[in-house]
Amino acid sequence: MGIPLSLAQWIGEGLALLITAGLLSYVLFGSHDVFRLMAYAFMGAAGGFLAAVVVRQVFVQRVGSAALQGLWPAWVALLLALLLWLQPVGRVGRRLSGLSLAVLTGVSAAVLLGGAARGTLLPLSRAATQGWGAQGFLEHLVGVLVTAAVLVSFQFGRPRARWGRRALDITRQVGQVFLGLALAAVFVAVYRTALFLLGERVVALGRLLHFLIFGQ
Amino acid sequence: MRLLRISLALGVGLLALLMYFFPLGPLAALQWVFYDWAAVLVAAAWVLGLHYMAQHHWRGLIRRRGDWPARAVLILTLVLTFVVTLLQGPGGTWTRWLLEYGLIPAAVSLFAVAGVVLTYRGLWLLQHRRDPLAWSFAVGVVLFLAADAVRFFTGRPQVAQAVSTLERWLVVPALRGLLLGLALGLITTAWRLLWAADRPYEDE
Amino acid sequence: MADERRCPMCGRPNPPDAEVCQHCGARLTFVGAEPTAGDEAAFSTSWFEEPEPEGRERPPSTDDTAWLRGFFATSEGEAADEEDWEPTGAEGEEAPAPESAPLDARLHAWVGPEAEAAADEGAAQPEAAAEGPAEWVPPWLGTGTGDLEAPQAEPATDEGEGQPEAAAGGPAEWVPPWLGTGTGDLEAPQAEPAADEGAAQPEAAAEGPAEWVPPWLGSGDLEAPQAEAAADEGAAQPEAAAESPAEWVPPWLGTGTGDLEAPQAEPAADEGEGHPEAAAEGPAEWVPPWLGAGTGDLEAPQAEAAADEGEAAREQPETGWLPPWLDQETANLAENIEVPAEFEAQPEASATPPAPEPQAAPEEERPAPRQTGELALSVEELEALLGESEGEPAAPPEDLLLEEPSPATEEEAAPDLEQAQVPEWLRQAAPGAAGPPPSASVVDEILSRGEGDEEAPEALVGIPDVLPAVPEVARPQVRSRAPLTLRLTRRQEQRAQWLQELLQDEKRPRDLGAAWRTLRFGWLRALVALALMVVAALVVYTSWGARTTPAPHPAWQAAFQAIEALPPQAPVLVVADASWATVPELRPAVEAVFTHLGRKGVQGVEISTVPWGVGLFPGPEGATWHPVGFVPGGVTLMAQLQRALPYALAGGRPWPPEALTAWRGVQGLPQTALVVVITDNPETARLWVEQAGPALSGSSGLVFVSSSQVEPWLLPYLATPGVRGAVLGVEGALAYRQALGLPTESTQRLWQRYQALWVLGGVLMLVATAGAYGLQRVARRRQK
Repeated sequence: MGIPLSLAQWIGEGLALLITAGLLSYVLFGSHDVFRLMAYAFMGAAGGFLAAVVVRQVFVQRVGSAALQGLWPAWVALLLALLLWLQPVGRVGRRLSGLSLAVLTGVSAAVLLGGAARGTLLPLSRAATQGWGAQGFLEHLVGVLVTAAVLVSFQFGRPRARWGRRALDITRQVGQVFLGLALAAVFVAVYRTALFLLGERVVALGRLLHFLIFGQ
Repeated sequence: MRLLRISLALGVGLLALLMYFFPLGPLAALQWVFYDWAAVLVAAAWVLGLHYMAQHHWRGLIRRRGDWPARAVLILTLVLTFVVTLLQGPGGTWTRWLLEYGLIPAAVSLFAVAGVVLTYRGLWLLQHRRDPLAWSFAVGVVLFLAADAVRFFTGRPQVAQAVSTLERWLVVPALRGLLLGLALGLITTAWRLLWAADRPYEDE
Repeated sequence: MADERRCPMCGRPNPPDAEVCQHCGARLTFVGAEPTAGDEAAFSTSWFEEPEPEGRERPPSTDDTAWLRGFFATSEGEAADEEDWEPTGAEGEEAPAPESAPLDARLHAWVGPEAEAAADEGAAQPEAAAEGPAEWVPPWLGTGTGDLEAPQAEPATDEGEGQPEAAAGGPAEWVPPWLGTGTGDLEAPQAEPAADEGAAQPEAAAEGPAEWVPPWLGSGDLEAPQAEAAADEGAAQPEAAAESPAEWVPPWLGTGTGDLEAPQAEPAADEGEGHPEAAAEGPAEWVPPWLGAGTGDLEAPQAEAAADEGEAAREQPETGWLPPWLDQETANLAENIEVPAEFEAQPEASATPPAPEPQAAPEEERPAPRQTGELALSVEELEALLGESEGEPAAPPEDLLLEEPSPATEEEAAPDLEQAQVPEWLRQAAPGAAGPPPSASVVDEILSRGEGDEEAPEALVGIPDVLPAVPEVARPQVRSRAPLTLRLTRRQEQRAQWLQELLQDEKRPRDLGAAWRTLRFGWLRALVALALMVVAALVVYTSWGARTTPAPHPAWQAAFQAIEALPPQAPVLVVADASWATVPELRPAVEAVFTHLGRKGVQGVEISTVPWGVGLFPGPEGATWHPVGFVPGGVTLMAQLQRALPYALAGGRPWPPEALTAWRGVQGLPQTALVVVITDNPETARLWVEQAGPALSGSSGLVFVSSSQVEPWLLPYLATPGVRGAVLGVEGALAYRQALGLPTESTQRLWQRYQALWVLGGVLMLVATAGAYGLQRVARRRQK
């Protein structure tokens, strides 16, 4: 059924205004019924969207069509998925779903392990040790020391020798300082994004109101 | 059955690991098949998770828990969006309408709320811990924000360069150490999973 | 359970009217929860606010696997309902609210390296105890939960401490699985008392033996009764746990089930320590054959007892059996005991001198060794010992049997016990003499319930498993002990003590201090929000603030050059892994990059590895664009794309589409010209670099278009070979547009507003924090 685009847009803008106002009202009034309704509505809509995309694009378009073509891996994949979906069905279901989870665990662990070793461990270690020219020597030296200190700060073992324990404690403290600095940078980055979006929503509120009142 | 699960995880995992590093010619196809199965299982896990969510809220609804109207709205929107997206696809008209005027504004608004909360709770860390990490965190936050304030009011790029230098000398190496530690922990965990020392797939 | 309110943060129970958790200080009312009566003044916290009590320091988490667990999580789109923490169970049923995990398990989950794994799937299940090895047990000694028994078991087996362990607090002494399947057996008794008492705690047995029994020791039978009973949802069905524990013993390791039921009455023995153990629970020590004479010998004592001094009526199915090398120590101990002459005159019952050959004495002559608690004495020795004061050879009174003795022996036992000369070491073993008494002694119960003379000799009171001095005897449950006695180092002892204190401390409600609770953040939040909103509006309509230019960041410059170097009709893979929340921030950068790609006339394929990334950004004009949509797999897809791109993207359809001629020879990512990843998630960015970066170190490469929050995480990777560049946030978008020569007015305004908000936000943060601290001080002073 066709709805005039302008009407659809008008309704949509109104809906967006309601949603934005309702959710942003939390910062002014705290949790209240309207906020909760909006939040729950978002959760439901998001869940429905995700489920539909997965069902449609994976199980219907990909796996389903492959299975209909007679490809045996697709049938096995469907079977594994069905086993996984048996998880809520009592004890037997949980055990059967364990088979699917076992496959998923094995493959995922292998891929993650390989990626971590090959994609992070080696390249970052190499990057930390490269560029030792005269110009950047001090920078790289400091970088290596900082990296090592941060790594040591994750260490919780205790050396036997007293001097070793002392050195470890000092290194750990130093590493914690640099780690705190790095986490501050991460925090500020997230804060930037959040503030930007807050400003964007405030502007959007104004724009929506303007549209609803003046139609443009 | 337990033995079967463990054997499956062991066999599939070790084979996948082997083929990850050493493409074994004829067995390469098996590797992609494994990946395919894992991919489908990830998708199935999505669906299962959403089932749990729906089930949970449905129970709350029929038992008339305190916020049952909100749960009713959740169930309603879930069903509505599911049906619309399933029929039309992600690129359909009504799906895009829902996305543009419903989902995106809601998600952005919720993230925006975080901006407010982080403003007055961002440095509350010092309330609970006062170790070097907390102090350096607080100092770092103030430093970065102050640098941007100076840059904003004065318009000078030197401030940005100074911050960039600080990042290059201290922040990046620290994050590198963090990522290395993360990778090491990940390798350890994955190794334990591969050898069935940890078995998240076991029946409870 | 119905009367208490469980904290969603720490999982511990609280009074139903509590607003904050008494243990961790978290608010018990959350967003989405209906405000309770009297809650008008207090604002509910959101999921951002997680106040923690003052002074409480959590150790830094060493768990790096949260994201791995999250990989197995059901959905990112599923929002947690913080107000309701009930785990769902079977269809139509609701799983019982999870009992508090055992203290040691929760503790271990708290300090263990994989503490977060315990919170998986929204269920506060005792399987938190099933993850992470105990610190002192090498992982190869155990396969999982078995390791977690170690902290409980170690104090139990401590030889140097005079602290009788708590009764029935946990499983018996932990035995490495390779020593025998007795470890599985050791846990069975926990389920039995739960079953016997009718307690609805079958999940105590969910820490089942199955977890840490190596597969080669047996099949799923080992886990059958108890674990299944524990896993029944919504049904406290302890009867499953009451089934015969014998099923856990694989046949090739033992003679049968009957043996396991027998030694319930046997007290556990400790060699030479004289420490009273708590009331023992569980089956007798089933000992694998290779430890000694073999499990078949479990029946031997029965035969020996029958042949022993004509006491055929003396059924001793419960008598245990000591391995010979342990029995040697028993013999050593016996040497130091004052044995009356009458006792020594009975060579059959005398303790054999220590001999290297454990089977020096003929078996039929030796008294049936029984598995005692701390006392490594045979029954006959003990009998004789206690009866020596009368100068008569002490006929073993029947009340020594761990069965209901005949009433006729009551009078004998009590006076005998009172008058016996109790040796010094035995006296020391009494709780009054050394150390605190055991907290729950079965014999104490017995003594308190006895029908006859209820006065028990003080010297022996509280020593469990030695003598039930009253006729009415419940069947004391013997906690079997490991055949090996672990020796603790000083450090381990200290740690055990620390754990003990920590466990006790966990139960006590914490004094969180009223100061922070009375601090109202609601009005502060409203003020901050108003200020930020007003500034945002002002900046938009007044163009307040200096017009700054984007800083020349090498990242976006490199990205620009990478795209600029693309030949026409180049195959470019675009991955849209962004979430809905950051679309407004990403749109300027994505539009700029897409415009650039369109100018280069690339052949682009757009995919998304997350369901919510589909259809967010329209394709560029001037480029051949093919949106594939959501392709499942996550990290496995990233790995698959390296070498099997057509297989991954085809999905049962012909690949490539006819319009994408440049993609015909592309078998993997290295054959593409460029991979553009649009993301706002640092984790996604990291995974792409890990999986695709090493393969793209040649001609192709990764270009990231991401929001500001990803910038710090990408910086270390910018120096790696596979990453060509990154366009970060609005600043990066502005710079890119300037480089492209596109109109930048709207983006400039955006950037300006962004900076203004950011600056004001920083100022407000400092002011608000200072204000909050000041208010807290005032509140504290008032409280004092």
